[in-house]
Formats: sequence, C-alpha cells, structure tokens
Amino acid sequence: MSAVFALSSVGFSYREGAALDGIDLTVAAGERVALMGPNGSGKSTLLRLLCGLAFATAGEVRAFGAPLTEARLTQVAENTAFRRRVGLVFQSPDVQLFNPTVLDEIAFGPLQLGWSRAQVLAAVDAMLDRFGLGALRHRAPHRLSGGEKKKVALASVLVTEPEVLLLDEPTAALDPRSRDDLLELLSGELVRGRTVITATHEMDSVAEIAARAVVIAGGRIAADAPVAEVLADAALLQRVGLIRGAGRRLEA
Amino acid sequence: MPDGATPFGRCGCARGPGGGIEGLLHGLVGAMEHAGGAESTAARRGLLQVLDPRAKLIGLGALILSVTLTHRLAVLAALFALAVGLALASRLAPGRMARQVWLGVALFSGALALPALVLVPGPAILHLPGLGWPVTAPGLTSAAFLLGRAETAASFAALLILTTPWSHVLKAMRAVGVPVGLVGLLGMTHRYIFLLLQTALQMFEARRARMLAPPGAAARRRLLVTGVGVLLTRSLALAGEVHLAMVARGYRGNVRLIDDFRLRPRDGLAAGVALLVPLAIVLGGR
Repeated sequence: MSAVFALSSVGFSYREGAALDGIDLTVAAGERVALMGPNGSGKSTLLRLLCGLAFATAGEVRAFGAPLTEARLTQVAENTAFRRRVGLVFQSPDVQLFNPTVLDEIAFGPLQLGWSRAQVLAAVDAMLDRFGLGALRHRAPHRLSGGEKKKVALASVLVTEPEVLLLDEPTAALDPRSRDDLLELLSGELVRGRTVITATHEMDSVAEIAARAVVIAGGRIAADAPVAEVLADAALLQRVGLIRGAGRRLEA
Repeated sequence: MPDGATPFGRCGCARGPGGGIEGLLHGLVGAMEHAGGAESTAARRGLLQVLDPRAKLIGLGALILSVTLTHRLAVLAALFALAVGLALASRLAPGRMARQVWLGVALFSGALALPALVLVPGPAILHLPGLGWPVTAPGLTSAAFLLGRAETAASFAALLILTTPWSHVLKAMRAVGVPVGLVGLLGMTHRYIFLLLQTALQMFEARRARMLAPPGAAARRRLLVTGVGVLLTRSLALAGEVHLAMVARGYRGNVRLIDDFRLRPRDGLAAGVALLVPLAIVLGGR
C-alpha cells in the first residue's frame, strides 16, 4: 500500500516550547490509526501538521508523496486538491460549527472547493440522509445537543468524501448513548476504505476505531504497535500516563 | 440543548444574586435568547411566515422606505396600522410587539423628540404646567413624525426578524446583493457573541463559587479587569481556532453561501404590492 503520510524526524515548537520532537511515522492508505497519549502529549498538534494547518519546524512531513509545506498550500490548485483529500474533525464542535444552519455547515466545504450549486445540494442531502439529520436541516448548529453537533461536524467533513479522515478526540464530552452512536458511525460503512487517524485517550473505544496505535508522550513516539498489543502493555500505559498505578485507567 | 434553553435556564432569564457585571452578562444572554426565541415565532403558520424570505426582505424594506418618504401623518398612521395588522396576521401578540419594540422605541425616540415640542418655533397650542414653556404646533408635528417614523420602521424591521429564522434573513440579504463579507460577518458575530457571553458568564460564576465573601469595590474592579483580559485572550484563541477550522475545509478568504429558497407566485405578488407603496407615496406627492 502507498504511504499517505510519511514523517521523518519531525519537530514542532510553540513559543512555550517543543510540542513534538523527532517524530518518525508512516501511515499507509486505508490504515486506521489511533494516536494515543495523555492531554498535552502532542496528539492534536500532530493532527494539525497532517492537515496542513501548522507546519513542521524540524524534519519533513510528506503527504501523498510530496512535501507538505506552507508554500505548497498557498497554490490554489494544490490547496484545493489537498483539502479535498484530507478532512479534519476538530475536538470542539463549537469551533468547527460556525455557520447559521446545518445545511450551510455541511455545504461550506463543497462550496469552498468550487462545487456547483446542484452538486452541493445533492451532496448535502445525501449526508443529511446518511446521518439521519434531515429534520435538523434548517436548525442552528449551536442549538443542537452534543451528539448532534458531533454528527454535523463529521458530516460537514465527510461530505467532500476525503480519502483521509483526521479525528481529534471524537467522543470527548459525549453522553454514553451519543458516544455509542458515533463509534458505530466511525466503525461502519461511512469510513470504510478511508485512512482514518484518530487522536484519543479513551482506551475503552480505541479498539473499535483503530487497528494500529501510536502512543505519544512528551512530544515523542513511545510505541507504535497493534492496538491489542498496546492495550495489553500496562507498564507502557502507566509510563506514558494513560493509566495510574495498579492498572487503573485515567479517563478523560 | 433544546430551542430556547441555555446553560442558565430556559429563556436565559437573569436570576440569582450578583449584580454589576454578572447582572449585565445575564441580561445580555437573556437578550440573545430573546433573539433566539424569534425562531419559535418564525416557525408559526402566519401570513408573513409562509412568504419567501427574499420577498419579505424586499417587501418590508419597501415599507420601511415608505416610512422615510412620507410627509403626511395620516400615511404614517396608515403604515403603522398596516404593521399592526401584519403582526396580528402573523400570529405575533401585540403584547410582545409592545414589550420588544414599541416601548423601547417610544422611550428612546421620545427622549429625542421631547425638546422639539418647545424648541421648534411656531404658534403655541398649550403651555407646560409649572414651567410655562410653550408647546408649538410645528413642534408637536415634528415630534409626532420622529416618533411615528421610528415606531413604524422598527415595527416592520421586527416583523422581518420575528417571522424569519436569522439564517434565512442572512441568506435573503445575500440574495438581494448585500456583500457576502458583511453577511458572513453578521452571521458569525451573532453566533460567537453568544458563545463568548456564555463563556464570560461561566467564568464569573466559577469565580463567585470560589469566593468566601463578597469582594469589596476595589477587588470587584480588579476582578472585572482581569476577567475582561482573560476573555479577550480566549476570544483571540477562539478566533484562531475557528479560522483554522475554516481553512481545513478549503476557506481561502471568500465566503460562499448557498440557499434552497423557492420563489412562488404569492411571494412575487406580496413583494410587488409592497413595492407599490413607496411608489404611490412618491407619485401622490409624499
């Protein structure tokens, strides 16, 4: 399988200090990867590098075989092609959902990518059907429940049919029912065939959404192995701060 | 969260102790929720609710233009009566219109109009008791025009807002040629002011929950200033995040919107009739 992302010795620093350091990572097309780590470990920063929202301050990030640089994404054609292929669902729907209605929210991405009005409306209708959001079409996203917001956020990204789906803590702050609904969506037909990279620290659900786990701690990769193997390694999980001593998990 | 509900309770009504800045924030959130309450009146089956938002925007805009064009009190009174009639036909209670529109406009415009009663020169029709100042006929006419125009124009504007979901108002503005940047700005301002108000209120409530005793005046001022600073920092962070979320979905500086409105014959008829009103006023010598 071809590599969707290839990172070599990648580092990234904020003014406050280094967030990522010496990251070597390759993700193949169709892989389902979980980025695991405690809060502040660098998971979200890594997702932003993969989505071209931030750029490595050291090393190189390659996407679809070419370096992912700021210069590349300033070219309209390159930017449009990249945004069409890679979608990011932010952790907070309040950040992601900024349009006046659910219809506008889902239509936003296709419109920015230059789709025709007919194409946009057809794609929006298809997404509303698939997510069971038809009744919310004209509702304001900020007035929806947490679970509905997450669905709208996911639909607003999937509407452009990206090859790569990046998810930042998709089940954070959801009630159990909404969480189960979302996990069902994320493990079903909707994401089949796509490359899915999920940042999470919820170990109860990681096996449902990923086959491979990349554990990040202190901005570095602490482990890269099948999910089952990582979850069975209590010493590793304890060392990186995902569980407390005596095998008790630290839940978000 | 269901419509009309906020983390502070249904309708966001101000409650509990904590005057000053917290009272102000509760009031502002309450006002925003009132704006949100317009969505429930917009969902009713009424005369204006069933019209296409573009037709409503054009038609009510034409009526507001008529208000500014006319120089006859009788026409102004007829337009105000039309606004009241449209409100009733759109199932908007007069009490609500009075509370949300007429009272506030009367107080504000009345304060501006009062001096005109005695300052505009002309024959006196009565003298103010106690002060002896003459109320002139032209002064009374000027005040009546000012108040009448403000009340009537505000009534038509309120009819648009109370019978149309805010998102449809924005799209209708776009459809009639209002620049997309302005429409996008209005939409986001509406959405994020509400979010920031909620954040501010939660911040001040969290702070109050950890206080052992009410702070003194100096401490309150200090808390207010630091609170505003923190809120500003959060606002900047939020703005940055929202921008990234837009960029991630292909945004490159130009907002594009879509609508799925359908213009029917009755919408065209309503807008056409409304457009005839300013025309008739101009042709009729205003």
